[in-house]
Amino acid sequence: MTDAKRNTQFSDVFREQRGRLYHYLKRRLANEDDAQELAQESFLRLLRVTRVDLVADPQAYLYRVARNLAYEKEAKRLPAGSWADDSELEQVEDTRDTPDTVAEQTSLAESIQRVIEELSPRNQAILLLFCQHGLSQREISDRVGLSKSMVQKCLAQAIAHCRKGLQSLGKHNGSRQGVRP
Amino acid sequence: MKDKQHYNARYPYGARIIDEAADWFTRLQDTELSCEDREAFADWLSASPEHVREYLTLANLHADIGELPPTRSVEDLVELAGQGHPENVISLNAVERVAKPDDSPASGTGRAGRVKRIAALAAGLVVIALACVWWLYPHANVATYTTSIGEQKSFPLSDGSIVTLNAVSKLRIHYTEQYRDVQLLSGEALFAVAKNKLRPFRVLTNDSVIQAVGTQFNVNHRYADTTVTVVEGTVEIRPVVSQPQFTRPAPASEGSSGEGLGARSSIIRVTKGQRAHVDAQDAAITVSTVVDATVDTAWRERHLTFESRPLGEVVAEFNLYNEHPIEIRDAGLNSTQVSGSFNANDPQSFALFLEAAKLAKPKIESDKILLMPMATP
Repeated sequence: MTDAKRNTQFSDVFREQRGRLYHYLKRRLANEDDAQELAQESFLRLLRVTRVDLVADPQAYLYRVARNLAYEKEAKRLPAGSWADDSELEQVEDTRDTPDTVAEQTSLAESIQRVIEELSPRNQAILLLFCQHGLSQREISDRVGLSKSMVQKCLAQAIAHCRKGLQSLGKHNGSRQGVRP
Repeated sequence: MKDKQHYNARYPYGARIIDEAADWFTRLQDTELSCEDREAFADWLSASPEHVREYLTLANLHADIGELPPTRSVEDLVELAGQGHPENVISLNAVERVAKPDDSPASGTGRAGRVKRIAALAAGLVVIALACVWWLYPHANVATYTTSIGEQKSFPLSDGSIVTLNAVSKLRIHYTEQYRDVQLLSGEALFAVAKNKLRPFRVLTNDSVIQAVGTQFNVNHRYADTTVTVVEGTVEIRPVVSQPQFTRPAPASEGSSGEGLGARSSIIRVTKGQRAHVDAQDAAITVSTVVDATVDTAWRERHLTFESRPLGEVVAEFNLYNEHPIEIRDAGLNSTQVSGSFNANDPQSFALFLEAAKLAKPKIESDKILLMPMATP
């Protein structure tokens, strides 16, 4: 098995495992106040985690805290009744392609496409190799002939640029749906 | 650009946080971080909820980009990346220079510098505010650990003892110079105690004080009662009828000698391979010998073993480990006796076992399992 393949498999597993968290967060974060609240609570919980545990694998811990929080929030909401009939829970649990999310994702996809196209060719290529083709930074470094730290820097720049671009388009956790002309 | 201004006005330090988050996110994706880097990242995350939020958002964005249908092959992209001129990269991104997490935000000049200084000030205020919140929580000597459904946590304490906390449990560490006190507020934990005769290790529950010197034992305080199983060494148990006095920060000296458990008369010694049950009502202690003490600690491997336990309790136990609960739909089933060994994360097999044993009729739904009485023929 080539490294690239193995890496794709790895990212698939990784993505799948995090899928529920993402879909949940995406919906939550669509609203400014909810996003604040969730971040705030995740943060407070991180503070309560032992230092040793947190340092052992901070990213995994953050994901776990956020996911637990997501579950708890849903569990708390349900008995209240107001959410019992709502499809929110199913969308969290199962979700990928309800008509609603498809529309949302389509316009989001367009926006992402747009901000990616604003990137320099190199940053664009590196971003896509990493996010879409699942190449590791090491593999990108080997194949493109850049140092690994350069690849990481380009990647960070590219992702930060996309995030800022989406933000100014009011996308990705901004509150508006439409793409500005 | 209106939106951007609006954004900047609301979060003056937003762009810097995005850069930092992007830097961390990419560094964490497929690199083995050094210990110092992990420390630094943990510090960064713990510094502000905005950091947490931005990091989660970037994780989302990464997944979203990954979900776009790829339009170009790996080979094309590699070629494209190789063509770019380094100058190009720098000039395009000069405006949005990636800030290292330790970069001072106040290093700019002119208008941008002013904005950065204000940003730094705002960020500083946030940190101070958070520090205040942090100090309001009693954390200096008292640390509280909780686990939620399905979560198990193992952590070392400052003396080298190791605590493993089972799902849906809560524990408070309270170390003083004289004692290493751990209060098990609810749930279950396994303790591997580092030897220190001068500073006894004590586990406190509502109804008992369990003292060990250097040993390994499991304490289950899921319900009102307390059950202690000793895996190694010896522990002493003293039942407490009234509220334990250890909820106060500094435990008052105990008895006259201060050597730990006060009233000698009611102390029970429990040794390896024994299980002691303390009744919360009358403080009566029952000691029995267990064939295999590891049965009581098998929860670490998410193994559940029951010997003639009422179904109500067994179901409650399963529900500690699974998001999708088992629900008993007929109160009469609660007292049905169940024996067996199961995988805590496989409630379906358990349900099928109940059916095969003709104990209950399960109905497996997408988000829960219902238990009904067996239909009478």
